[in-house]
Amino acid sequence: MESKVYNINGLKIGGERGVNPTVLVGTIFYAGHKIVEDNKKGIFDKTKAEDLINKQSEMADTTGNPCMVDLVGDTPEAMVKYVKFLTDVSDSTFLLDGVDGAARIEGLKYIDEVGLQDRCVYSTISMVTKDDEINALKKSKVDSAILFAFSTYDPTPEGKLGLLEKIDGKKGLIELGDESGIVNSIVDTAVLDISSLSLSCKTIQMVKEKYGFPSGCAPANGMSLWKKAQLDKGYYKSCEASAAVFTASYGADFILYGPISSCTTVFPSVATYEALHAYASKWDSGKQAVEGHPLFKMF
Amino acid sequence: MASDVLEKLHDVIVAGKRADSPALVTQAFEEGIDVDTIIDTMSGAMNVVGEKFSAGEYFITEMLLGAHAFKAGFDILKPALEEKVKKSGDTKKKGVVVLGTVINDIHDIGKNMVGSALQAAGYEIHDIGIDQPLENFITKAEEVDANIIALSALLTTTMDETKNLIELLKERGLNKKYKVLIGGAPMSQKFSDSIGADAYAIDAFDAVEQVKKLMETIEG
Repeated sequence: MESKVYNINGLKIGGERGVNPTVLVGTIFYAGHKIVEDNKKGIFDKTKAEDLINKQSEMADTTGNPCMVDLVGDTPEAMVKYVKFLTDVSDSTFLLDGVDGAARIEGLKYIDEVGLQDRCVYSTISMVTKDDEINALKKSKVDSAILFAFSTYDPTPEGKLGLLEKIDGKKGLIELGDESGIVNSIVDTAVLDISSLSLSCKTIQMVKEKYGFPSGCAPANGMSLWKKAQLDKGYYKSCEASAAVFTASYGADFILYGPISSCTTVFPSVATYEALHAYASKWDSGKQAVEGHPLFKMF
Repeated sequence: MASDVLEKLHDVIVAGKRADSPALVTQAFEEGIDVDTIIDTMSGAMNVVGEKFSAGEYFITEMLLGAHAFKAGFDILKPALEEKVKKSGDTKKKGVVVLGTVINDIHDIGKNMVGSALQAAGYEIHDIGIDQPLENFITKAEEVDANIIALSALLTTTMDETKNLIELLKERGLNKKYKVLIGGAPMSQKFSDSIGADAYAIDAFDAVEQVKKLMETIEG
């Protein structure tokens, strides 16, 4: 299957390996993020938040890996405040990543009201997404979303892949996305713990091969449970960057790498890998990396 | 020559082969192997899964696959198990647990693993699912005459539901009737102590230990 490429707010995601660089997504306002003073009301240190968002954009410019901001909102009120803030201080594309349906739906309403739909990627549509969310998406102008291929029933690559299509009479993720008016479907292959990152990466390849959708995952979800990596902060940063590079090596189109503050280590690590890979691809198959690719920024 | 069906059943659970365990349970029945021996074999296999997890040899993926292989076999075994209890007249249960994930929370990995681990340990489990209002936990506990209500919450925004349940039980004078066990990523022993839960479990196998201890306090 030909790899699909989407242009979301000028950000290209997807395509053949070695051509478009991996989009790196840093998370802000996550549970326990120190800059958040009240996670329910959405009160936070604006100066620090702006610095973090700008730093990630700067790293993207420096390395050639595009970025998105993953906005985690715990409540509807907080979700709207975070979207408003981000769009006030930055032109970055963002994931609308409410922790529950209510937060995501309220975020959608605000995005439609102020016309931010082209900058938003809805995160996420899953097998447990309720009808009210599907209906809210249908009404919304947002047409980019992450399909979350997560199955507790069968966490193997085959099990995850199987979620994209109708199973046991239930609608699959592709159908749910279509029903919600999603044009740009991006697949997240669901990381359970750090060891399962390897299976998620294998699934990325399978999704791209069978359906051509841009695919990626969140090594960050494995990092938070990886106790041994948390013994020492320096050790943790190396493990986090390495997990991101491993994910990129499987051809991930996007990587949710973790806290946005990690951009200073993750971007150069992934960009170095991608520059080397793109150069190898040029020799192997004549594929030419796009303008601004890490190949032309890092060396 | 004795069949190796039990050995195979043990091995498919340890290997997490869900598709194979029901047929092996059926085969064991057909060979006349009694229910207790079959359940002991399956429980032994789940213990091996737990040991491998504790030893760092298995990870969450293998735990989930093992739990599903156990459950698929257990579903075949359950009617025979219930029939045997009925016939023996021994209605004394090891313990009855109502299990679920609290409202606005759709996480079920931990809950499912707890359910399988407790079933393997011989407890009667009533899993009410994910995204459940507190009322449903209490209604089910009353309906099945439970000993323990076990709540899972994976979000900082939903963990307070555990506290709300304890308060609701107090309001209704049911706090002495049911022990409350909590678990989930944002929780800790400290949190459990602060809300007055009876126990906190860090993972599925710890949940078995905690339930065992709680049942001793009930029986004692």
